[in-house]
Amino acid sequence: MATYELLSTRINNLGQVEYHLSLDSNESVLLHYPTAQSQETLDSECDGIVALKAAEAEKQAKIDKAIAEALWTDEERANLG
Amino acid sequence: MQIGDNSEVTIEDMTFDKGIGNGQGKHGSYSEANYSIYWNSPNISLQGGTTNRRIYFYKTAKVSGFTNTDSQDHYIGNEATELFLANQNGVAGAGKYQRQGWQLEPETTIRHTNSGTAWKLTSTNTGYKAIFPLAKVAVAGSGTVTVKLWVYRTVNGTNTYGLLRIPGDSTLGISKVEMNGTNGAANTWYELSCSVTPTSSGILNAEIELVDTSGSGVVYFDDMTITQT
Repeated sequence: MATYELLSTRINNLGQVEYHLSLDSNESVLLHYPTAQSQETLDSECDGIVALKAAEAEKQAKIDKAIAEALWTDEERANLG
Repeated sequence: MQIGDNSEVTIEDMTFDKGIGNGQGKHGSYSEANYSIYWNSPNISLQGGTTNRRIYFYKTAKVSGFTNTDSQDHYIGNEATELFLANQNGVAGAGKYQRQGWQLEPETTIRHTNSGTAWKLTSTNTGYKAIFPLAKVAVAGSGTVTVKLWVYRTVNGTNTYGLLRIPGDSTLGISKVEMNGTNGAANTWYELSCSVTPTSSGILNAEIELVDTSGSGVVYFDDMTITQT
């Protein structure tokens, strides 16, 4: 399990404990719970988020490829397929 | 559940349970739902209920009085999608405006004037520009229009700051004017001011941008004034 930097903790306007965690140098996530959580729980949640993002990016790449191939001309299909 | 193709749907009282976890059961592998609704129509009215898994919003929506107990906020799947939330989880005044990669919330602790509400603008992804339109105001074709706004940030430097902007507008005869908050110290209120002199009457826009290279920056703002003299 990876470790994610905890940027801040506060009580949000719903009365929940909100954690702001860095996923990488370009992206962060806000997580909120009814009670305080351990760093291990937060890390596990972030691992799940990162895994889901990767899976969705992979799925989107397949969709984009299928769409691109569906729009190939006969010449492109003969040469690229 | 996916609702798409501009379907007109009214959900009076929704209850959604994501399941019991990920693993292998006797009928094969199973997993929690990643989202409760794929919201792919602008014509959905969600009037109440509870979910423990967030909604995937692909189209703009306004939702009031709905409870989301998921640890994550609802997901915004499109750069043009706007999500307006009010009375979240049944808490009066708990609202949020969500866009892809950033959000805006009312703030009652860090305020310039010690009453009412300031606003907290948070970036969660450097891939998206956090620009919030502050005002669209009718102005005369003479005299100087001045927009002022107090901003507050929690870090020094040039990686995270507020940027007040009056965009250029040929119908008003004005060029873009900006003022950034890089001279404002951390944890201090700092006033931004932009002035233009329209040569024609019309509609003037003002906006605030959270410039942030960290993907996690925050800027608060409060007490905007717009005058023409």
